[in-house]
Amino acid sequence: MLFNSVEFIFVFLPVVLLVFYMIGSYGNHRVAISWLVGASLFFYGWWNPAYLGLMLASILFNYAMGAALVSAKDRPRARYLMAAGVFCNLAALAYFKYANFFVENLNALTGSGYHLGTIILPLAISFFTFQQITFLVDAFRGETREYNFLHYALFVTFFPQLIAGPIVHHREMLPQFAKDSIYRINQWNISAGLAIFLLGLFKKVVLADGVAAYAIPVFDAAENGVVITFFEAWAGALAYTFQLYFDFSGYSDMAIGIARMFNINLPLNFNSPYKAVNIIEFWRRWHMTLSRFLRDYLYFPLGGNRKGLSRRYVNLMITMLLGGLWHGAGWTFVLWGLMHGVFLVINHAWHGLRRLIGSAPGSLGFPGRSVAWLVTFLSVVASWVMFRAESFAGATNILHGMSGMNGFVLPAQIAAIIPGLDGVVETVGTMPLLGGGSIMGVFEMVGMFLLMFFLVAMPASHEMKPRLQLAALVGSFYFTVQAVLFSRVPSEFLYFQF
Amino acid sequence: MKIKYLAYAALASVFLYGALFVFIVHKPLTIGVMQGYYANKLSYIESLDGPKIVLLAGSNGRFSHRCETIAAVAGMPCSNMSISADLSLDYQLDILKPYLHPGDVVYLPLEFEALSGTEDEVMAGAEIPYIVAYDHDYLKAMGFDRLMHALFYFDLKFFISGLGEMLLDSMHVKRRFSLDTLTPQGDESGHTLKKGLPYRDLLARLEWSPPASGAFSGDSFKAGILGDFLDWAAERKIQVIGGLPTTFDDATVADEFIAGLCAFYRHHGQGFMVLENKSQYPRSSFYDTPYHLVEEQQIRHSRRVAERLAEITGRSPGAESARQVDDACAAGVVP
Repeated sequence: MLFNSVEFIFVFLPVVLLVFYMIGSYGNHRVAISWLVGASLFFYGWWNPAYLGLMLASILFNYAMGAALVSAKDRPRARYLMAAGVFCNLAALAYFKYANFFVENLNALTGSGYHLGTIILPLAISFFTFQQITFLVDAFRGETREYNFLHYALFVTFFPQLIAGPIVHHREMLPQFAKDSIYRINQWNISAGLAIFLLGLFKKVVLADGVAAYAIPVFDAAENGVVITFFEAWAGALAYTFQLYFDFSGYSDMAIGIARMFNINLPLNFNSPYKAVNIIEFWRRWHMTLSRFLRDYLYFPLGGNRKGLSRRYVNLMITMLLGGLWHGAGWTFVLWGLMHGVFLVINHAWHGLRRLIGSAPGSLGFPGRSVAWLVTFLSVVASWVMFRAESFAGATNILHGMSGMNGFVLPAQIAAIIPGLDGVVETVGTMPLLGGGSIMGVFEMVGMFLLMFFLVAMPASHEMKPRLQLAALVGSFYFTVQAVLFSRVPSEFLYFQF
Repeated sequence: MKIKYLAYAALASVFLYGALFVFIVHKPLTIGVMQGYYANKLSYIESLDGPKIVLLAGSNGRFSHRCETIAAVAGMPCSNMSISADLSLDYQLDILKPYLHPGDVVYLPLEFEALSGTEDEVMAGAEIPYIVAYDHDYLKAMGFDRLMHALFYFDLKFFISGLGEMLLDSMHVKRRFSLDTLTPQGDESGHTLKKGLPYRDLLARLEWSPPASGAFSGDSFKAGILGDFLDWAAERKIQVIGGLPTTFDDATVADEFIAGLCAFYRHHGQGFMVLENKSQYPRSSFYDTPYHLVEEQQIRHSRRVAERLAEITGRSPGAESARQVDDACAAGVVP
């Protein structure tokens, strides 16, 4: 079930909320939690009931392993249990997500002809697997406190964050389930949650889905071998950059908003990442809970920055490569991770150099910050091309276009109204990949991009004062209703595929 | 924040944008231009006395058909009422009906997209912004469901491009085609082979395929609109003849598809005509899309259409054989 679907907004969410508070008002917290777990499983099963079994098995297995870890008498046995638990989780993830990728590459390398058939990737497996790995590792470290099965089941399945994060930590969720206050209607939380949800819905159905129409044809054409010229390439890359931003930001807002209606606070997952003035900051703002997981459960165990400079850079590269692979079983994701690994290494080296010459990294003036922002933003845009493209050839086609290597072409009507383009650009009748090719299509696309730059620069939903939230709702609500009720079939969130 | 403030904000948003789209933000270049098209076309059709040929389709009717030529060849006045395939057929027919009289011939080379589709597609037709901005009488007469669809038709992109068009209009920027390129009969003109050269590459690589054999369903909502009109016309002794839109000849339009259309028109007491080339031409005959012939080919195609129309409507010696062809078409055997 999608957050942006009519059945979710008008049936599922109100019913679940109402029944939860009705049960809660009678003081029966176990039943209320059971209701939420049941509703979350229904929400998950709506996509494909066949994978409910996998999720339930995963919950039971990890809960049992966690309990065994806590009661393990000696350290070696606990270590063995923890390793076995993590291995089983990763094995399930590897089978469902990476088995075919592995076989394809094995076949390509050895010339063999192994075939596994189609393996459907269970929705959210990357998310619920990571959440449970943190639980097992922390149980081994003795950092888990609560072992109520219902609470644990809700920690894994809680529907606002089940499908695409945030990747929540048991420490920030389980204690909340134990509080009496979450079972009582809190008007302020309902209205604050609803406001954040509606703003997130606007980001998804109006902004992300709206700008997607400019990205899809460019990336499809690039895959089909059509030479993508400069303006088309930038239009496609920028469109996807904004599509992903508003899709993920919208989802995160909706998740936080829905949870808030249940008096649950989810961790922040998205904090205006395109405002970042360097890649290190970008990763502190983009998919923050994944960054946190990778830092705490991969980068630090690898040694982090404690084993010298070169080892630190190697650790960074490993973390980002695996972070890339987490997003999908494909070389483009690995290369995307590699790009960000390189960006991070350069960024850390640059900061090191600045410290060496006595200039603190955070001491840039406005011009310096502007240049830093631009370099960061352009690096991120270029990396999204690799992230979005289905093949390396498709990505390089667009990257060549962005660099000007595929020529500069514009529709004659557009070139005619922009002074100084004579002789600089080649003109054609129309370019369907560029805003549909018409003068108004291009105007509309440029207008959307400008609006999106403006919105990216605005305070994030969680930072908005109530007055600004209300103003944003006045500006957006009509378009949200239009898109949800009168427009098209709801589209999936991009992060669902990870 | 209290929930009631959220409700106020939501209501304010709906009323604010509703008022903006009804009274202020519009698209003078792409939607507003239709006001001029309709004014010209309706004033011409109103000026015609006696039986006439009326041509109605989307932009293929405007670019690929020429009433100027059809009138001369068929010996009957001809009015080209075609504007755009994005306009729902029911609205176009509602506009046209008051101008149709017994003895008139309506030729409908409708684009394939206009032949079958859902009620939702019709509710989201491009005539909606036109009605909201310019045809308030029609708006008021709409049923509640359609009225709501009309008032919530506008998305953010429309808002942005509406502001853009208003700006460009104030700068007197013209579109490629406007009232200036329309003949008195309502045909598009000036889209010559030479002017179409910048679109050659695009046309050469455009993906196009004819509709699948079973793509036409007489049960679809759009087909229902067409069927109602055919019945309405038959009751009033208005002859309606269906035809094929002009398309690339890379692949042939399936006989089964055409037979389905023929049977549908025949079922509703009207006819359907098929040219020998099924209105299909090489890509080099087109201007900028699969439905728009260049002007030179527009005139040649219109001559062929006019000759067949004259035969079918009984104004030429070949009339009897034309009826036989029509019968054969209805039986599923396309010549």
